[in-house]
Amino acid sequence: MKKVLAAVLTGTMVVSLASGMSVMAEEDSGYTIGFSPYTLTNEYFTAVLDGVQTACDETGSELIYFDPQNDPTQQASQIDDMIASGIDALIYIPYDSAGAYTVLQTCQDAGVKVINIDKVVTEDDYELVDAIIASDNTQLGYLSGEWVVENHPDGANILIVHLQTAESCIINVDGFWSAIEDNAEDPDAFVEVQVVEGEGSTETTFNVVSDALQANDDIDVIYCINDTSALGAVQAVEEMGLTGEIDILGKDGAPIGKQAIADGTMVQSSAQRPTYMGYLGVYEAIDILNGEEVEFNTAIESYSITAENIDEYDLEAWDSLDE
Amino acid sequence: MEKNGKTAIPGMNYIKRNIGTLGGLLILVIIVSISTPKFLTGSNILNLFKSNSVNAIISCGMLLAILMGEIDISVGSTVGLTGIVGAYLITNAGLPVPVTVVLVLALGALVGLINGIAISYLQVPAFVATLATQCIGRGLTEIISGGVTIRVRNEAYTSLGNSTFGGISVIIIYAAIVLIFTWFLLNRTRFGYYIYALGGNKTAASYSGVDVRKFNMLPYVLIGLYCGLGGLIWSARLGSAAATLGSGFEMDAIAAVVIGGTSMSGGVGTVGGTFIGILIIGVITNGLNLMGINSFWQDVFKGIIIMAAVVLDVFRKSRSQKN
Repeated sequence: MKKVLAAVLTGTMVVSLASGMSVMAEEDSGYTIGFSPYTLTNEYFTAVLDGVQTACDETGSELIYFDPQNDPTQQASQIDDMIASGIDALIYIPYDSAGAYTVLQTCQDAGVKVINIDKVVTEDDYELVDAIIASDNTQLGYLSGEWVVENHPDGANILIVHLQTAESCIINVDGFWSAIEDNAEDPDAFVEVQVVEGEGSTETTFNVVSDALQANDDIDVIYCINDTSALGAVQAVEEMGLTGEIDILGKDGAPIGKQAIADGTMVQSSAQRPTYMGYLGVYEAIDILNGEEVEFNTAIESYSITAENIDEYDLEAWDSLDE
Repeated sequence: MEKNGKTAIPGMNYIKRNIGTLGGLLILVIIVSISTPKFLTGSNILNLFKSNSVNAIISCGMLLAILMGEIDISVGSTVGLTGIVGAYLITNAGLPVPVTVVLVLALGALVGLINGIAISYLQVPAFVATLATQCIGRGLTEIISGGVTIRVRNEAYTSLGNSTFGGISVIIIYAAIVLIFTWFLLNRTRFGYYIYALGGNKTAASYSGVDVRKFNMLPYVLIGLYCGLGGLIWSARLGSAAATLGSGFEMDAIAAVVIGGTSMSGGVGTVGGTFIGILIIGVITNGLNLMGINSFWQDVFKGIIIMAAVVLDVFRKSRSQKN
């Protein structure tokens, strides 16, 4: 009896947890799609969700999603719950790309197709996923590096605001420097003055950039690994009375980044396409379920947002579904 | 040491009392100054004070909690909540600046009041009560912001954090006022006397006629108010508020209070000592940033210093028990 009660209780808890769950049907593909990012309390991931939701609405698929709140154990158990509730495919952004193995194995055993998006699983686990869609992290950094070479042809002193715990950001920064290597007449004229840890957050970046501006009075360019931290750099530079003298570059093409470019406080941001990524993920999942061939590894092309082309973009939304 | 206290130089008592931490601070300053000539410059010292102003304000609050033998781990989340509400009220609701300021401070005080009632009247352990409000605060912050950074364009509002007064940032002035006010409260009022009494021995305090519940609750209201001020300052200064604002602030505040010689079991500790603790944390962060040392080392050093401070506290206590 107790067991039954426990099961009922767990069941109701699952249902109440799924309050964000949504059910729609227009054309009715008949498929149920699960979506598991590792957090939903972040603009970027809600933009992915927008794309997933739109594609599910368009295809008449049922969508189930939960918010694991940056907790890999919670993410794993939520995916178990989704499998139990009968999903056909999973759009999966693993919290820990190296720790996705058990989740992927469970999905395979249950016959659930997995589209791994945004954060790619380790290469050893490639055989367990059905398709991969991700940003081209090298290109994201590369576009920013190209901007710097173009606008500072004689060289520049560069401050890097990093997020050293994220592999994608390490690749961004590598891409940034390789653009300079490839395009500058004299790559040695581009000097890395300092690398500071901004933790991807506005207030931390504000503090570390303030300190870096104290330590170095010759900074020309600040490259930040996301727009959120670039906002902190903007304020630090402004308080130091250096607005206009230092070029601040971000990454993501987030609404806040685009607004800052429109204001003239930031000069460039390489766009990520979270909405499109989620959208494409659902369409690929349905193609796979219908037995069609899809490209296994899709790199989503980025584009460079600058003061010259800012008018072409919607400042309120992250990205569009065009392309 | 001279025993003739009557001819003591003013401030001597302060130095004697905090000899260990002052020595530590001095050694730190010497090391950093030798390592980088940028440290002991007027503009960097102002930058150092500015960067640590909010921590100073929060630490004054934390000192009150720890003096009562309790703790408040909701401070960071309250800074985040009040910061985001401030940005929301100005930008999205379009309220005038004075109204926003009052509402934000009142919200901070309200969170504190809830903590205080839970801890003193409902007898919930402080750690648990403030863990709960921390959780609630973070959740509300995410809900209000929708995971999106809220930008503030209202210059009257941002000037609350950006303006200077006689060349000194207004934030430093806020922090100085809070430090002096807290010192006055603890040393010159009955309220302060009761806080020490509560931390020393709650039962004894209640037998001696102190309204233990009331005086256990009120400090939390003040802590909340300080956090509201912190949220106001950060959102004004950054010209934006993100849902992650304030995360980890409780750690730096607890560290500053403990390094400053406050006993975790309550009853012992001063604003002056806490001030030194704040500076020690500040010099480590600023110094290592100026030297270009990876920020993860800052955590390592902070941790070592906290450990040393607590060990010292235990030593002192065991010695005073023997005497």
